[in-house]
Amino acid sequence: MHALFERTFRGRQGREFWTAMLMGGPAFLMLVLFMIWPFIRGIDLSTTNQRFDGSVATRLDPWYRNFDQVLSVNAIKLPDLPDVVPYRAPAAGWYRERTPACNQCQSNFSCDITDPDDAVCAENCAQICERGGLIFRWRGRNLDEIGLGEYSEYEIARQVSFGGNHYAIIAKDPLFWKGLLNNFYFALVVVPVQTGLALLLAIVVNQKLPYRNVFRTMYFSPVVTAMVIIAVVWKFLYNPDFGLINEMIQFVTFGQVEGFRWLQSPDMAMPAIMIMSIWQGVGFQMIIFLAGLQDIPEDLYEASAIDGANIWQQFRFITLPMLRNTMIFVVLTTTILAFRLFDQVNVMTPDGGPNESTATMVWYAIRRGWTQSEVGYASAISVVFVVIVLIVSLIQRTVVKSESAIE
Amino acid sequence: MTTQTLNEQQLAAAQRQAAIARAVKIIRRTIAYSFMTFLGFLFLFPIVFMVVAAFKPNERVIADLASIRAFLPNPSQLTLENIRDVFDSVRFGRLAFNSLFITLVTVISGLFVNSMAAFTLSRLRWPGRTLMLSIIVSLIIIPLEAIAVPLLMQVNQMSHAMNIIVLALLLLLTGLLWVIVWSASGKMFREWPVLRNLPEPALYLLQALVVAVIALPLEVLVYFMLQQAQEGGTWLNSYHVQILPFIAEPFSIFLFYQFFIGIPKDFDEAAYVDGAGPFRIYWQVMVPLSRPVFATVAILKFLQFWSFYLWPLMVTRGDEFRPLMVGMDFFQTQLPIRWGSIMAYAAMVTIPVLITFLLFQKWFVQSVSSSGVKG
Repeated sequence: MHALFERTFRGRQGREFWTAMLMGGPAFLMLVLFMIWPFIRGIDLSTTNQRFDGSVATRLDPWYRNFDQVLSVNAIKLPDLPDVVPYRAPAAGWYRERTPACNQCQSNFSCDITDPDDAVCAENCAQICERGGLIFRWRGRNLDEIGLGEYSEYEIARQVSFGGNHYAIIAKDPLFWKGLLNNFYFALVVVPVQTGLALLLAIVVNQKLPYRNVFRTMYFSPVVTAMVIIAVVWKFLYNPDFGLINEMIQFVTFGQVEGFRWLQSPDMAMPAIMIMSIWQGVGFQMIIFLAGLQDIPEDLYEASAIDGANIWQQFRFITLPMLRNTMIFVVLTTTILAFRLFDQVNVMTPDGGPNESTATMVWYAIRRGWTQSEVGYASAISVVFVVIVLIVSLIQRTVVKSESAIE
Repeated sequence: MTTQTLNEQQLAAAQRQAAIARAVKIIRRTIAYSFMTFLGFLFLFPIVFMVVAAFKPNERVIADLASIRAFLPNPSQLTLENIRDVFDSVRFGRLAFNSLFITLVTVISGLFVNSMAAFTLSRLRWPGRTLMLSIIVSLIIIPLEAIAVPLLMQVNQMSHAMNIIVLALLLLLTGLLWVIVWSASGKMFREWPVLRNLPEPALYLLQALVVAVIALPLEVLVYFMLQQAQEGGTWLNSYHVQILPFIAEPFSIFLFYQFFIGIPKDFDEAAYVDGAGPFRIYWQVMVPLSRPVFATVAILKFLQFWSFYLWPLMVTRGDEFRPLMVGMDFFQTQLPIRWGSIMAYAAMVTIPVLITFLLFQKWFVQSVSSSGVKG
């Protein structure tokens, strides 16, 4: 022990140790102070009911109550439909839900109270009623009101019916699950599309054409615009009434397609944010792919051309395998970025979008922890968020490893 | 006779083939260029629209949308009204200064702190080095969003001891930078022909001045922390709360580390034989040899902190310490929404960065591509 001490802290090696502490110490200490310590503190806070206003926090009993609240999800069978279903919502029990909001005018018209003056809307609502039929829903937050007392802390997140029976997916915090699903939705669409598009752009720009760098600059320029700023511009472009994007859609389709309600419609709000994110981020990946493409030796293509390979074969059997490492890197980083989604969402749909269709995990954690100052609960969400990010990247890494083992 | 006609026939056939090949090439290029132009339009139209709309009267912005006029400025209607409105309704100068100041101080002090850390990891032998390296690599994956809420708690109630620790750290860093730059620049000053004839005290003074200017970002931070430690209380609504947590950064350390281990050891061993200590090796061997990675980290960090949104949103109130990104919220909450002013604000934030990008394009592209080489 003493010898080890001597060896480490004295003599030439000792000098090197102290120099290292002097030069690297500040960075390491700062990482501990501003990253590791808050992370550990977050784990600790997640078991308390800490609030931001400085009131005294107490440890929860049991300690995992926040996590239970965040993660509890269940599927149950709802009681049978009564013979007479009331039109108006009762305090508890089944009722006929109003039809989904009218797609044309976005007002919450139901079938029975359509405005007779608005012919288009009335017709539209009638169509929806005819097509979708009536939807029966349970009223009431408290499931114990309908005889499901053991689930009194749950809320119905989604309802499905088949075979005359009604089932419900219930969660203690449906908004968290909504956010989680939105994150996965975003990642599942954006990661493949953005990677593919970036590769396409890189190949296009990599052709030996004069002025190709001009085009590279064009495709890259969205990357240097700040996301928050450009999101506001896109919010204007997406405006359903006079937005440029709808105008262009109408122009390209000769007025056949009216355009979408984009950020105001539950179905299109997330795709709108996806398109915008891809537009802003794809240039970055393009450059990374370009670097990968330029590392592929030219003679591989020449040799294969002599062997009679066509362009597709060259792409499939030379370009793709040679870009493997670049591809892995791009997919990994894009996935992590997809799970960190916050800026665009908060600027374009500050309240989580229609029907919470653009709520994400980070958005929800910030909303609970900062807007509503429930620090303890938000810390629990953050911990779950980190675990999910870790799991996703670990899965990706193992998939990548096992694939390379086969080759 | 027959051979001659054959030759002529062959010649004609060859010419025909060459003509066809040329035509195919032209057609192919036309297709390629029109496709590329179309893509270019997709990537540029929001930016062009934003810039054009910034110079239009408010009511024209919406009225012009239905046609190609959305992208074309109308010379007779150009106006600076929107830009004036931006200056009237927010303190744009202050916001811009805040953004620039925070970004520059974070990036410059980050370059110094992280490269030194990477230097100790790649060049010095000390126990715990490999452990530290693996900790840093695994920290890369933890996003700021995951620690934002606890970090907010922490900076809101900084204890006195914590303030003192941070202040001591900054003093140490500043002193270190002073020593390093001073010892490295002494010889250079005395060998420079213009300065050689100056009297000795003037030379020292000049050298001290240069050292102080180079260390300016850290000195500013020391000043902030001195005030903070005296007054105590929350860190919220200040400059340093937006700078200090982000100076040390695992990904930057990793990028520097990767570059440093690629530099042959011969260089610093030669310097070591010449009697140079670790400080001199760092400043006079590693830093000059690693200009590309310094540019890479600087540009990536600049882009990141210039568009930083979540953290400033949480830790600032009012416009005194707010950066440009958060200042934009003002226009979105004011009814009726003045789209012309919003576009002017957006253009005023975007255009300087776009121009910088166009000027230093090569560096931008190089920095992005080297951020992912080894993955």
